[in-house]
Amino acid sequence: MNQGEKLSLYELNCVVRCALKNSMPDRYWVMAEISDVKENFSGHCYVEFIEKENRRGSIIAKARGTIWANKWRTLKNDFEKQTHQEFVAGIKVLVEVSVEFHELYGFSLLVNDIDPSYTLGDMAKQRAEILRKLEEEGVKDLNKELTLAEVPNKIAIISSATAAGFGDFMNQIENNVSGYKFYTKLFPAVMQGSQTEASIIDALNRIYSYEDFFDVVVIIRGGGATSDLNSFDSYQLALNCAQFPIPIITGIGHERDETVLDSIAHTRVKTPTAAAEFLISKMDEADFKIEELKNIIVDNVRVRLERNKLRISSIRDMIPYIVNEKINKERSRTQLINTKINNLVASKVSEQKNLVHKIGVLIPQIVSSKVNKQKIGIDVIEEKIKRYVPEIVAKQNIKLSMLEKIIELASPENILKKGYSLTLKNNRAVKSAKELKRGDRVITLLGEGEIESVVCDIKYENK
Amino acid sequence: MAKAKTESYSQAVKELEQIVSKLQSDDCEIDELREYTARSVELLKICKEKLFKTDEELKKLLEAME
Repeated sequence: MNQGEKLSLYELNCVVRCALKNSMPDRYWVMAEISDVKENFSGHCYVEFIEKENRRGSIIAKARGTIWANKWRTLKNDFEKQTHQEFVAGIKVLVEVSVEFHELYGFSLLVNDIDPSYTLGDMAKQRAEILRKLEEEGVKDLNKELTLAEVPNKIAIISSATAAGFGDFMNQIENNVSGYKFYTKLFPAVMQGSQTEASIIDALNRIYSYEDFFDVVVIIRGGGATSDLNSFDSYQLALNCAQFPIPIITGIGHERDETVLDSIAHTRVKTPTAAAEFLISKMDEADFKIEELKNIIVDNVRVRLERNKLRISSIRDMIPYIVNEKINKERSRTQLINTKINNLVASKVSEQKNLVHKIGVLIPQIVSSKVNKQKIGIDVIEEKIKRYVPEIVAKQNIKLSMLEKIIELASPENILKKGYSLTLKNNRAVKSAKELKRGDRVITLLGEGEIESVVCDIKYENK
Repeated sequence: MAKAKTESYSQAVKELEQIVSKLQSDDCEIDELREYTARSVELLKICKEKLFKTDEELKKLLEAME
């Protein structure tokens, strides 16, 4: 091109388009982040691709992209089917593009293909990054470490009241075939879009004031078409849930790899229905356990009773033998004692017999010795009697004749004969003159004869 | 707020397990069987009620929540 030649803008743009077409005729796989997606009335999709600087996050490249409606329909379906993620702003994509330049619209990328596996990988990387951060902070497994109640029937539900998933959950819970009683309370939250994170955190805060009441928190969602799951890969939400003091069960209705929320939840199931089934199965376990305990107790009591019955019957059977044995033993003992007693008695009797015999022999000997001794005494006495009696008799005879003499000499006749007299008054001897008075008649006895006198005078001297 | 009686089931199950281990041990006396059986029936009733019977008190607590 000559220096003096001038070009119109259009001509220049034509040159640029030709140059680009010639120098970049191929298709290129380009990694970029989507910052905007718009679909127009005719179904064409207009995307804005950007690239951010790693460290500061500032945008260092930007390009418009176009996906024609016929291609967009297929690519969109494939992408969402494989990633369970909408083709929205904020995600990273790997797109096959051809570089286009239009004289009027300028530079743009025409998207021919999208590789969903790249986005999947990138999302996984992001999730892994959040989980790593939670782990570093020591909170990742806190909710998992909580013990789920054995009877988890007091349920706080975080869901949108109008969501089909919530209806499914309640239907399962309320119509469970076993008839378990559940106590549920819905804490409504927005479950998709940019409000999701804050809304769920707010619901958790409300549940926190009833911490002592609830056994479990269930976060359920949708069940409808695959939609934006980015909110559930949020660090803030994960941080709140991980530290929540009640076990959290997630059933947010998606088939792809776990979201961060699923990873930190106590239990993760796929759908709201599965969440209800999980809780019912826990109730089944509790019921089974009770039934099992009941059976074990019944069996054990039965075995104990049976064993005892056997024991009693075996004792009952043994009693006659034991009694017989005892009787025999006692009989032998009695016989032994009997024999001993007999022997003892016989020995005692014979001992006493000997003693009696000995005494029998001794008594005559003693008696005869005593008799002999007495006989000798009697003989001596007899001898003495024979010797002394005549002597005594003679002495007494002399004494008697002397006494006879004395008595004879002392008789009143003899005394009267000697010249003495005896005066009587009224036939009584008068011994004192005091007994008489003048005129008394007295009789005086003499040795020979008697005289009667009258008292004419009395003389009396006191001696 | 009043604390829900969540422990009663666990306590009842724990006591039932203790009864089982007593029944299975060698030093279980026949005289204690009646007592164990009666207590077991009581505890099983508590557990079953927890699973199947509506607790009006809990319902009221739920209704009172905002």
